[in-house]
Amino acid sequence: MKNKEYYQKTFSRLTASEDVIQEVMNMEQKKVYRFTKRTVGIAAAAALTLTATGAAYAATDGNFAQLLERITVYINGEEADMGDYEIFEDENGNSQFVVSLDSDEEITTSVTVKPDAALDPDTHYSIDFNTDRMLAQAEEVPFTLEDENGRLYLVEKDGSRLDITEAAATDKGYRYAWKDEDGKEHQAFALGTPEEHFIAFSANSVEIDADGTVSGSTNAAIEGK
Amino acid sequence: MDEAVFTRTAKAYKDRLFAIAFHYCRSRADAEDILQTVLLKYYRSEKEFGTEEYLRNWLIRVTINESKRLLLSHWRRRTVPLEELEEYAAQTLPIPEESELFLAVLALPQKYRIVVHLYYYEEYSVREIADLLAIRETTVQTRLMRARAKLREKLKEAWNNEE
Repeated sequence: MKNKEYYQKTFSRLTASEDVIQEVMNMEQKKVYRFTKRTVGIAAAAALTLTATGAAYAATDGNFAQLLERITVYINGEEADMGDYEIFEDENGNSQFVVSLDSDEEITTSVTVKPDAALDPDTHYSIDFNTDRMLAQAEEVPFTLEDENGRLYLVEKDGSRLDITEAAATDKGYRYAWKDEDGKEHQAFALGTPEEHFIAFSANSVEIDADGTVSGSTNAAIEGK
Repeated sequence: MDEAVFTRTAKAYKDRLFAIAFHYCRSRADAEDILQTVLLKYYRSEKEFGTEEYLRNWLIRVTINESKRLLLSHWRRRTVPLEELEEYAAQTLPIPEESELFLAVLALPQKYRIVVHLYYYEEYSVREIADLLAIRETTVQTRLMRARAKLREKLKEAWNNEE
């Protein structure tokens, strides 16, 4: 059997419920949108996380609630729901605002507010994550990582393989630079071990230092009003 | 929109749109949510679709966009357990060869799955897939090539070397 025939025969057995048509017509008549199980699940997960993290802050110095009140998070210019991002305190006391995309590779970017960050008390800050750019960036990476016999290899588009096991295990990882069709330079870093590895982009997070300096990223921006 | 026109189109396309959404999210519940949103958009649309081909492309493009939107809105990285897919395959695909292909395709990375489906099921050309997904033709070719290699590796002689 030809691949196409085999494929079509198999996947033609995937069928949607007949009820969906009637449901849509009912919704149209009532002009309502249904809240899906998934939506409810997301909200519940976010609320639980926030409660737990907030309690941790309240027990230390109580700054976390203030920080939340003063920062609004946007994703691609639209105000984000709590479930669309994660907030937590890392081991250094930084407040991390993290957005992760559900993709084949885990793609994450973050804004780090350091514990001594000099945020102006009269300013309301906004963080805008550009997830569209993150996805586009991930699509353009001209190599993949593969593990084989306990070694980590960087595999280029032409199939050439480079053993980067030792370099990837360092803090900075293995740096790979390339130019796109327009001659613009890009770089990405391969990090980790043969068993667990990932690709990071340069400046994929933003940091706010003690003196209020914002440094970092093409994927997230913070500004005060 | 006229109810009869909507019903006719919805019946004709619901399963193929559901299959596309399923290739993205690998979850029946999520795929049905996406399908519902797409059909509602169609019902509320005041567009003149003209040809059947234009309507098909529009519905598929909206399904792709809605699937991506669902994945972007997820809280944290979500994984669908393999057992869940195996259970679904056992219920839906009684023939072992079909069940094997189903699981092999759904084990592919997401970006390969959708390209494979649009190519083998919807019979789109590489150029048309590139347009639908807003990626380069060479990227589509690379993904197809890697997906075929992975399917061949997993399915052995059940998956031919032909394109």
